[in-house]
Amino acid sequence: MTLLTVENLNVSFKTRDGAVEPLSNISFEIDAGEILGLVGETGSGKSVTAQAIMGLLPFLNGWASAGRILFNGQDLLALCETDYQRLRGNQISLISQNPMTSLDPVYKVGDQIVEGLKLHMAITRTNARKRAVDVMTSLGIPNAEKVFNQYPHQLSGGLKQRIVIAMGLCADPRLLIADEPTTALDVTVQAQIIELFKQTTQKHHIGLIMITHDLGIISHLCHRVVVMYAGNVVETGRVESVFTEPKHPYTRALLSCIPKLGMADRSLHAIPGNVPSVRTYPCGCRYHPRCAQAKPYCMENIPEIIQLKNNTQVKCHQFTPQWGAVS
Amino acid sequence: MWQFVLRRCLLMIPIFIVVSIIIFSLIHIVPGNPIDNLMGPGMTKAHEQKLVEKYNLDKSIPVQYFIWFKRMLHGDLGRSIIEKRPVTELLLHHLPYSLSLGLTAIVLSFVLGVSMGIISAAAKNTIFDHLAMLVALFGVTIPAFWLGLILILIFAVWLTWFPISGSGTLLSLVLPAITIGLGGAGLIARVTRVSMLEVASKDFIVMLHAKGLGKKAILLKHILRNALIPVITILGLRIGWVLGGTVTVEIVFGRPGLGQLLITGLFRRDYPVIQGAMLVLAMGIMMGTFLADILYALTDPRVRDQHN
Amino acid sequence: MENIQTQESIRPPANRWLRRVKKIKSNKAGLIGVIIIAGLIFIALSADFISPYSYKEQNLSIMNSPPSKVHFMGTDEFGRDVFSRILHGSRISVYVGVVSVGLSVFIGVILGALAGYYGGWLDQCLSVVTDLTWSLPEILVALLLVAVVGAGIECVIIAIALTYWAQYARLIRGQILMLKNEIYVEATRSLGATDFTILFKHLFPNAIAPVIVAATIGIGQAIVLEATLGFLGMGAQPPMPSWGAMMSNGTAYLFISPWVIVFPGLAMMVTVFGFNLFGDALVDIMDIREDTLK
Repeated sequence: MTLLTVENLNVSFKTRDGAVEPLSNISFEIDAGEILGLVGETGSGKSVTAQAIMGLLPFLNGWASAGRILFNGQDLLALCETDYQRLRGNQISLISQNPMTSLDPVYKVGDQIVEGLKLHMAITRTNARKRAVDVMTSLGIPNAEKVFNQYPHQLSGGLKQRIVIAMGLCADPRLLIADEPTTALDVTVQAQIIELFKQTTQKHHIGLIMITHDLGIISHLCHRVVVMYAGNVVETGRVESVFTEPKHPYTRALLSCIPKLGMADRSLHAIPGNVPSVRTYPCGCRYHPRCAQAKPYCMENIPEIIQLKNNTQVKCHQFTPQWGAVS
Repeated sequence: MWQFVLRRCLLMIPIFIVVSIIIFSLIHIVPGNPIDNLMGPGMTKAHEQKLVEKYNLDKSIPVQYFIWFKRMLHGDLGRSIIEKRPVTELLLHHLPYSLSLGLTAIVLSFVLGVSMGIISAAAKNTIFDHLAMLVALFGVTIPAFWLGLILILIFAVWLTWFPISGSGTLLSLVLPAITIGLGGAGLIARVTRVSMLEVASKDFIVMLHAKGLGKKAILLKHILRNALIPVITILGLRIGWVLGGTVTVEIVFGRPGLGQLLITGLFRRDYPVIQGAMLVLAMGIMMGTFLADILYALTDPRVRDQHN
Repeated sequence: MENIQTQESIRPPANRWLRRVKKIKSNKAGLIGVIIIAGLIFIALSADFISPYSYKEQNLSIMNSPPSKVHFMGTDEFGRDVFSRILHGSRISVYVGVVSVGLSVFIGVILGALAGYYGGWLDQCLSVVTDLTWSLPEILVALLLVAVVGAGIECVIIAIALTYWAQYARLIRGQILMLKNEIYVEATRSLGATDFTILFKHLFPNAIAPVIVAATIGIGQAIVLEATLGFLGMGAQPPMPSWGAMMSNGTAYLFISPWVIVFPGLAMMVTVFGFNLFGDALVDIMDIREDTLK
């Protein structure tokens, strides 16, 4: 059963120097009980995608200029704000990227978790508190009762991040979006959290969109992966196929950048060039300036999304029938 | 929290001592012989000896200070040269009028200022916003005494809604309180507006939307609470400025408060009275700052853990 | 040497001032401020020539007469023309405003720069004095000083100067603290420059901008303070037409001739407004971050 479908989504933002379009033609879907990885470098538009799904764009001077986001069959982009509020934090939860700045400094962290619970559930304060403490403990927070009564400035970055994760998990959502949830944590805690995500998703049959730039987490945790570059989805597929047989030149380049044991004699590989900024997206295929296989045709034409076998999709001219003729 | 309160209390003591030293030295800094300065009208050489004894002018200055300080702690601030009554008695008589005016003015400033600031921020860049900020600017730049006079002219002389001067009734409190309050409100409105807009653009606000909170709840429960922190800071720092307005306003409205006592004392060179009034005013400002600090610590939990 | 740093205040002087002139033209509020200030100075200088009547000539037969074609702003209790008195009063306001702030800035900048540069006990002392004068209402500080120094216009100037100097000292101290650790200071010192040269030739020009802005708004503040002291009877003595004293005298006649109070007050408000507008525009022109002014 498809939980969320993003169809041809375009997102624009208003800035002082005019409008910019950080996302173009984004499409992917996720089923209940599935873990979907959203991977890409900084600036690829991963967080904007999360914001779009959560309906947070209006608060950031942004809007969806085209496309649909279907959640359980309902188009989220057509929802009014009141209805959207009922979904947010309740059916769809976001675990945001910056634990340092995600918490209100003047309220106790426990109260901030309970705030979300009481908003969406008919629950007494005592029960809400108990539930919050339980979730906090399951995330490995020591002395959860004590931490509940503390303020954000009294906690370390790692603890704060776990609080933010607790806020997301507490309300029992159908869809969870985790935006780089483990960046501030050390490796052991990271492993713990990833394991917890896995178990929770399976146990409650939740859909999880895991946004990260860490390919290791993707390979360990996710079923399918969406690779993003410069506001486009360039490749989608099952993690095993994409990681063993990457199709898109960008995916291939990304995977080859990972240092492997036993390559001490070779230098590290890096993709030449820089990720383009949103105002200077290249014409045609946005990856062409950095692509080893680029041809003049790539600069003049935007590639279509092409279906390959194994339920893989790729956005690259190489996989079109005409490629032989133009190369 | 209690440690914070205790620390602030203890800090007030050295400040109080420094202020008392300055106020005490007044008689000695002023040009002229202290004895001549203390001689009231109709006093003769014979009284001089009594004065010397009473004010210990034959002893060294530090000793004089200690005696003065000790007497002050016992509530003895000397006698008014002109009125021939104990200064403490005069102070107690005039204090309630200043207190009532000052408190009303502060509350008015706060309520009016914060409301204007919130609405201005919420209606950013609209006509209301510009108008409100213009009014706030006027409040800050307009001299209190002139505003008082204009208010008397409009509301007491032409419209006769309020009494022109005097004290004792609630109505007589209104115009003076507005006069002082408008200046304070102007300052607070500007700070509130800036603070609200700054807090509204912070990351955790977006997270609150993501939790599903409504705009009103976010505004009142989270934005306002955070935005008030700098407002209270400014209020604490400038509380003296707000209270200073009472001095001139009491003259304009003929309120028999401490300000009036001080000004008449200055004119008549009644040094014990000047010292007494200044001391009480300084204490009032210190108390006000102290309370503002406590309020600040209550609003911002991060402050409680800081060590000064 | 290439400017590696991008701090505004360290660009070569020529480019800076050129950009500032350009900005002056585009800032409308600031222009209004400049016009008001220029007008004020013009009036102050030419009061003798442009005022229709003498400021002290009494004519008891027309005392307390309302505004008319003959007396544009009416007359006061001695039959003196209010308009002429306001024009002459501007002299006192400008004189007191400029001199007291000038004195204030002079004292404050020297002490503040030394405190910021050398630190130590001088800096500690300065902090204590600044905190004290900052939290006390300026009117009380001024009254205390007037009690010591005496009344009259010169005393008022000194009192006002001593009330505000700490403000400017604090400002420049902050700037010096920020700038003294810049690399070019170390470089200049290693070339053999004395402390004096570094302080006055290099740090000063860069540090002075916020002080200039504060001083501009400070002139407005000083004028109000002078008027308040004048209202309380401590300022310029009669028959000098200080705006504050005019309003003080007029209080007794509030019912009969309110114009004696209204017009001087309006004059004062326009003046202060002009200085504030100009000061705000300067903040914009000189690229000063607002939090350095607090």
